[in-house]
Amino acid sequence: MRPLPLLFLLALLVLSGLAIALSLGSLSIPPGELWSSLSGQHNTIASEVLLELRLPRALAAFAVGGMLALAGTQMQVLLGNPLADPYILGTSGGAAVGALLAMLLGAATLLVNLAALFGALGSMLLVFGLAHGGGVWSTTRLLLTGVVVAAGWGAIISFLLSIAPQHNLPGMLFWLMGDLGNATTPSLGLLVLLVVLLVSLPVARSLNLLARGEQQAAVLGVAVVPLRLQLYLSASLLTATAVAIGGSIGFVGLVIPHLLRLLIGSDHRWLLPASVLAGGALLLFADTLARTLFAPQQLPVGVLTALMGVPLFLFLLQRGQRG
Amino acid sequence: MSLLRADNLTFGVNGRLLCKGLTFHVEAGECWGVLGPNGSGKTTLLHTLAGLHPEWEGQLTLSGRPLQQLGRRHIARQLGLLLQDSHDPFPATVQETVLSGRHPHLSRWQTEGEHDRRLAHKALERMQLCGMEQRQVQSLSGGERRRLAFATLLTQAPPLLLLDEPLNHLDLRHQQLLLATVRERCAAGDGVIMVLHDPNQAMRYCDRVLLLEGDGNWQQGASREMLTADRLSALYGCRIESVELAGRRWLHHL
Repeated sequence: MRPLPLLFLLALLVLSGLAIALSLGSLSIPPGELWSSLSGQHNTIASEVLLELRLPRALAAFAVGGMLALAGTQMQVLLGNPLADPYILGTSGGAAVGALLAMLLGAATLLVNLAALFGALGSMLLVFGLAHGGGVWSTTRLLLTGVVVAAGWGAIISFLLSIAPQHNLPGMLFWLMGDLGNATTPSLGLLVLLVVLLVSLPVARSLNLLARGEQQAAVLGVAVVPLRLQLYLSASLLTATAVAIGGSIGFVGLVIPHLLRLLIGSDHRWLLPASVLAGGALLLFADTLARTLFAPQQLPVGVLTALMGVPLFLFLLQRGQRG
Repeated sequence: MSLLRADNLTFGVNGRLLCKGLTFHVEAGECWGVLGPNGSGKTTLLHTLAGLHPEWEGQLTLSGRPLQQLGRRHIARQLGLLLQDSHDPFPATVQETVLSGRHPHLSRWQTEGEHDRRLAHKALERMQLCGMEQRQVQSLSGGERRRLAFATLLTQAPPLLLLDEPLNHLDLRHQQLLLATVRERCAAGDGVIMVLHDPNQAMRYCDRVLLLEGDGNWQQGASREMLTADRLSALYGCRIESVELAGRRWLHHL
């Protein structure tokens, strides 16, 4: 598939996803009336629901999905491994430990999100410091350090879950599965997403070379060390922000980059913007389903991303093999 | 001005000395062969010259400027390195791969243009890879990948080419094709340094050779004078004899 038409298609998908997310819910608003309600000409219940609840949540879903997919694409290049995902180096584990601790202490939502953010950034610095320790910053060392630190966080998470009082458990489990129920402030996510995308696009062609290995990239004129540092920082920042907003939503960051590579190849000048749009669209649809499928019961969105993504991905993989 | 000057160059790996006080200058149009037993530092030498290996002392100048002062992009326009192995964990087409050679010539926001595509096409044509542009690299055979890597280097078009065992995986016809292309580059004024294992090929295609012994010692000189049975027997630690055939000296082991 040509990249440019796909980008348009994805943009359309995002827009229709937004429209559906805004119109569906306990109070259904026909798509035709969305605009007049949004522009706030009359202060009805519909416009209140839209502006206070659905729009922030829909934008947050888009931002989180976009951030995870972009982080996944970057992490795969950084580690030279198409199986890498944003969580592989322990960023989400650190965030989870922070968030769960805050929940155990009975902190409010905002504090939980902050604790997750600090946990993620702390884990990122820890992994970076340990991997960088000897001065050599090899891919293998970074990967091993990250995976081991992530395993450590996993143990602490299990510990926290096992000592947590009964009434805290559902909230903690929801957080671990990924849940946008508390995502009310999308501006931080959108800002981080936009800034990282703008900073990443100028080095997109260098990423194509780094994907062929560090030495090949260096030989063809890429300053590898600063580029890898930039990748690590931006992927970690994206992951930390996404996880702080929506918990550890799985699957998006692994599968969207893969899926796009199957569709349009590995030119990161197209892949980076395409992964933002595709990840955002996937999470928009998944979150709309998550809150409407068994309404008023809400599902954790992480369940839906996997349920939607797995068959889609397997289908494309089959088709790709035949082609 | 020499394309490359190495003066009193000493390098090693993890504290193990490989080569001490090496001095050699590569002039435009010259083809150098590097020979030596396994682990004697041939690859490390090429990586040092390309600025990829930090463990060295001495002076290295690329077209008159000290290597340490040059950025990667500048180096990439002066020299190219055919790595011993290429690996492609991510899917990419032949066309994308060969065009990646243009990276150091393009500015940040520039995309590959007509000129770049023409160079890429010429390189693919030269390496007999035409018609494979849309193939996935992962579907190519080992020899085809090797030719693709060399075509990428031709597309990069640096005045100095470093080739690390360029003939790996190539059948006889394509070995000959690659070596003939190397001589063409030299005739056009480029310099070449290539690691080879076959002294007969070095004798035929290289003007000068550098023999690395791996313990710090090295020798260099014109191919015809250096590639003698005695010297090579001592270098590789096995009996090598020479025979005269069809007006040329051939070296073979017993």
